[in-house]
Amino acid sequence: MTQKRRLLQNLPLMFVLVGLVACGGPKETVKYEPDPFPQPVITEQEPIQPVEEKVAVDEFVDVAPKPDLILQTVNFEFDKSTLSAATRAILSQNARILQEYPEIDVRIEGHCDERGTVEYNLALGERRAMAVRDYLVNFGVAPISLSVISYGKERPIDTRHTPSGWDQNRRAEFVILNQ
Amino acid sequence: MNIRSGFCALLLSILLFNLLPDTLAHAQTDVYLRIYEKTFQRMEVDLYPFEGQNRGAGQDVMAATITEVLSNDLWMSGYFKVNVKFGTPEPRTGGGQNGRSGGPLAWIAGKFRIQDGRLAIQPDLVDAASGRTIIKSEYFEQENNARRAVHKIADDIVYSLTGEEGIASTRVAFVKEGRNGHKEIGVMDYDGKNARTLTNDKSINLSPAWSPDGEKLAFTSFKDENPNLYLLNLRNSTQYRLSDGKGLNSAPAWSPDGKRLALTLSKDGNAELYIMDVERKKFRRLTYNRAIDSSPSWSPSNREIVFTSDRTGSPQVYIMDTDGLNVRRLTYAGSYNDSPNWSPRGDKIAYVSRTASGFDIYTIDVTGEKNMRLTDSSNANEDPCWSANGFSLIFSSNRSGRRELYSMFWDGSDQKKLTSGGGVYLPAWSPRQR
Repeated sequence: MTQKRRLLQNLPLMFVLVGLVACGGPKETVKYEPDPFPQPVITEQEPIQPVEEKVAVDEFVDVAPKPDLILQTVNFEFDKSTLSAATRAILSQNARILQEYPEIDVRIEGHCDERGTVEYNLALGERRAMAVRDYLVNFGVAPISLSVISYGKERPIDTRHTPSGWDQNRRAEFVILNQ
Repeated sequence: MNIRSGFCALLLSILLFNLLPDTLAHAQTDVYLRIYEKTFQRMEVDLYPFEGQNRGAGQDVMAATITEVLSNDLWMSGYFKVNVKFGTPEPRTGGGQNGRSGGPLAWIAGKFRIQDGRLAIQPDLVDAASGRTIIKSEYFEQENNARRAVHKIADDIVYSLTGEEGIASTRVAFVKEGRNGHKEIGVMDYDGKNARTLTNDKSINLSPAWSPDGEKLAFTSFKDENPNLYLLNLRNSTQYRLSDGKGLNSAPAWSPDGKRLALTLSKDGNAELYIMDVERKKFRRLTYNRAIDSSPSWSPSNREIVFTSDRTGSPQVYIMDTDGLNVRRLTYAGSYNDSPNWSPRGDKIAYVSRTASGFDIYTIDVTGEKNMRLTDSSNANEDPCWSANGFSLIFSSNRSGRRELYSMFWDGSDQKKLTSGGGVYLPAWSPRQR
């Protein structure tokens, strides 16, 4: 019931989000897509509202929500997989959250900026994801609940070819697989 | 078709050994060595328009297509400078003309006819020194496949004049980024024409690698939620999974004998190089360290592999034997060297180096000497891949604002954009089509 209320409270915010996402055009919505290989959006029926937002609303109704389950993305230096002090602080927060929800499975996705070759960056992205996993395991997260994958430089979230664009793209993201 | 082309090749080789003048036969070895020299002069050939045998509107278009494709093919072979002539060739005989002392090495004319959508081309290649016809066979193709027939003629001309197999019939596989960030494998002719996609699974497909028989492509795909390795058979368009270890199954490279694949696997927790026996599905691990080892490419001798490793802290290019022994570092200049590709001639390795302004393509001799920069722009020039004859490279560059494929000669000359539309990268130049 409190969950329902929370959902109602969040509804206006969601509409704003949906609107924002819709304004960004189809290319922008990809960034918010949790499924790595999304089904095509059925544009004939719902020209404005992206499907994934609807799914999110449905899930709030059906399944117990975990509103504080937000795992922050962390960033890296060029050609590095070392965890900075700031990154470690974020990861310890993520570890605390993951300990609260031991039943969830998380995939850590390693990414790189566009510089350097495809194949080297695939390995570098994996190394980043593994560095994050190892850190979380040290903080008491069950290894069995963590999987890693690297997309190398193939899935940038910032398409600018600039230093600040690159900063955004060198990252490890957390994708919750079951909820 | 195969029987016919086999027969043509047989005929050609008979012609070659019987008809080729002595001077030309000797010139072959000179050319082989000279083409890498700065002083190398392309041999001139005169190209006359091919005459249509039946009347009709399509005749001029077809004649123009033949001239255009043949002229480009002969230029791209690296050997020839083509003088496009108009009118009909004057009868010429003898005179010791061989391209060095003025006058063309040979001239090319021909006829064609179109009937019921079928095209028959009959080129006439004449050696200028002897006045003798070297090629006079007929090439058949669908009318809408004229370019393929002309590529075949160009390859036969190159072969009969130089003794070297041509590359005009080769193709290039690549990765094309679509909307929504999907990446599919595609293939096109070596001159950028006839592009089409080979996969359509709306995932991320990367690193196509031709088998040496030109019939299969190995590639990495994320379609099953892990970067697994697949084999695509181009004959029947079937696919099957080659390797699906946990983590990376990436950077496939065929051994020249076609039996093995070098690749990167991270199933043991770190990106390491392995050799896979393709038939028996057996893996042998080559590298053991905490560094990234990736991007293997075989020497044409089957005995060595060039690869990238960041074991010193940044990526550099190394060579090792195929048993993992005798590792030696090849690149020392620059802090970031990657993407090595071994020339089919064996002597040079192309690679990518990070520069102050971007990424550029270099070549270096396997001895570590003659490090040479081929591209020079404040952009990313990447993914170098040699042509089957080792005279040209194909690569990707974002110099136009979008990622496209370009070709250039071994010395960086004649950089030419082959694709348009953007989002094209990871080119793999096919072996010669037999």
